[in-house]
Amino acid sequence: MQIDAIKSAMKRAGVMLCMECGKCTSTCPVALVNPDFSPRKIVSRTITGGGISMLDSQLVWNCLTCNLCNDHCPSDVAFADFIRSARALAELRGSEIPCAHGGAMQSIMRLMTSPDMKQNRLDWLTKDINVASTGEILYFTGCLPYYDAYFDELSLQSTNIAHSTVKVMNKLGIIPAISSDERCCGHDLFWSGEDEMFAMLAKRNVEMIKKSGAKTIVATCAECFNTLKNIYPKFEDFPFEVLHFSQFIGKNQSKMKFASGKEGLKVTYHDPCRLSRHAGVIDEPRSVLGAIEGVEFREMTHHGMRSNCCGTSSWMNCNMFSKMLQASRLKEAKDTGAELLITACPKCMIHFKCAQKDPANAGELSIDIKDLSEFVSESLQGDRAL
Amino acid sequence: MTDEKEIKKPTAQRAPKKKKSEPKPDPIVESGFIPRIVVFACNWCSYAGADNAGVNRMQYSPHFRIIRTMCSGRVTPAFVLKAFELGADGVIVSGCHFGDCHYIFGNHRAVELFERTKKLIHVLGLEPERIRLEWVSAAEGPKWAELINDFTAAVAKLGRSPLADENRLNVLKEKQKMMNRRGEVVESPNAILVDEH
Repeated sequence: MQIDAIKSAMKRAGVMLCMECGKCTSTCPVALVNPDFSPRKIVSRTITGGGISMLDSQLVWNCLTCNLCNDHCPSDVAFADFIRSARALAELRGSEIPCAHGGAMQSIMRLMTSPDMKQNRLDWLTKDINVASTGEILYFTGCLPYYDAYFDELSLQSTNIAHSTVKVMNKLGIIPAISSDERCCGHDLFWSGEDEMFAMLAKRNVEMIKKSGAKTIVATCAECFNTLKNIYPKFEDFPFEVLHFSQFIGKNQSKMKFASGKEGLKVTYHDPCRLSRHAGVIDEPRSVLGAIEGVEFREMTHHGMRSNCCGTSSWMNCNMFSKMLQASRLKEAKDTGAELLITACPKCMIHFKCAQKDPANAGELSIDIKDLSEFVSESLQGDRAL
Repeated sequence: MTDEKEIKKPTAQRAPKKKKSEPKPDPIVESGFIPRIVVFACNWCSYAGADNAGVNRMQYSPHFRIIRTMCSGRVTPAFVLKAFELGADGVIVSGCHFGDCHYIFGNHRAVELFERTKKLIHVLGLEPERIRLEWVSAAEGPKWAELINDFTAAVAKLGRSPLADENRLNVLKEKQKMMNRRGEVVESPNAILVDEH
């Protein structure tokens, strides 16, 4: 049964088309820091050895599913998808997800499948911003309230992202629908191979969206955005439009005027894997940043489709290799001469901030990090039209 | 009033002096709802305190499972969340009194971690009465019994945890069954899913 499952996973991902050219390994960020990991090796072992031994090893869990390999592969082998299927099989063979934080994040995600729960996730709402229970546009906050509760030591107010987004929407005359019944989008469970849990979460979220009456969903998290847009339709009937915050601003840009408040503020932008390679949203964040007066935009060496992963995926496998990747990415940001690094995914931001906190990196990685929504909200000067 | 003849008989043949008292009816069992309670007890004080209660033959509410950790400071939010994920209705974290921790400051760490746990429980929408942090020393058997009785009654009043979704628990149980199919007899680590009382 398991051999058949691997074979069908291989077929879906096109694994047999591999030419063993090694371009995947040369571009893989994990392979760069971890000498034991190589996408080419995994594919080769799968083809020749039936792949069972590979399933039981740590290798399937080291992949960041960032898709840099697939981007470079001349045979278009969907390596990240294959790893995902391999993880689902590995779990059935008794492997456990190497969860970070003792599995707290995964527990929170799985707990959100409970139909009768009444979350207290709207404590970040203040009197100066307006939301409603129904509306044309739904703002999908993601797990920000949980990150606030968990990462208190990072002095991170991740719900500031949500606050900023609603503020910007209000300025545009939009009162977004927000639900306290929102569940985790399930991105991490999906990429860890826990399809049944993911399906349960998807079901709850689609019910929630339908209840709100919304036709459009706006997400500030790259992972929520990609999951809702590209993965939910495979599991549920999904007749909704999904926009990343940058796309939403892009649509409404002519109505707004932004100024950074400082002349020549050097800014760089980190493309999250889920936004760039998985979803193809590369120009929109740049056009938003370009519309802000006073911003001097600097591009990192690895940007757009070549953007390097922030180093940790799905709250798993956080180890010294992740730290090396975070350090190298932050150094790259500093090398542009930028004073401010903009991200479009709260998890990338958390991972970077955690790496900055490491005393071994003291000082070398210091750069201001803000989410796109926070920066846009701060730069909002008012209406340009009329 | 001892009968001379009675004393000369072997002990086993003597009439019993005291009448064994009837076991008191358990209100929890009578109510029909048995809460699932998990207690993380530190090895040095709390677990010994529980043992002390046992040695003194104290009768108290039996509807809980103890997980022994070396120190209460080991109990991260992940442990408490895992208990709720697997269907617990209430969780107690118990450790040594301040100044008595075998690892000097472990119980201080327990407080820090418990603060984080409280915040997460709040966002999840669970009643704060479902978790408790207590300090029970090795000699405090009666305190242990009182803690368990009190907490069990409080959780029984709150009812089944809103996060104990039967569907999810069934999915997890099915997965465990499949994992054991490698032909090995493996003791399931997720014992709380087994409803034996």
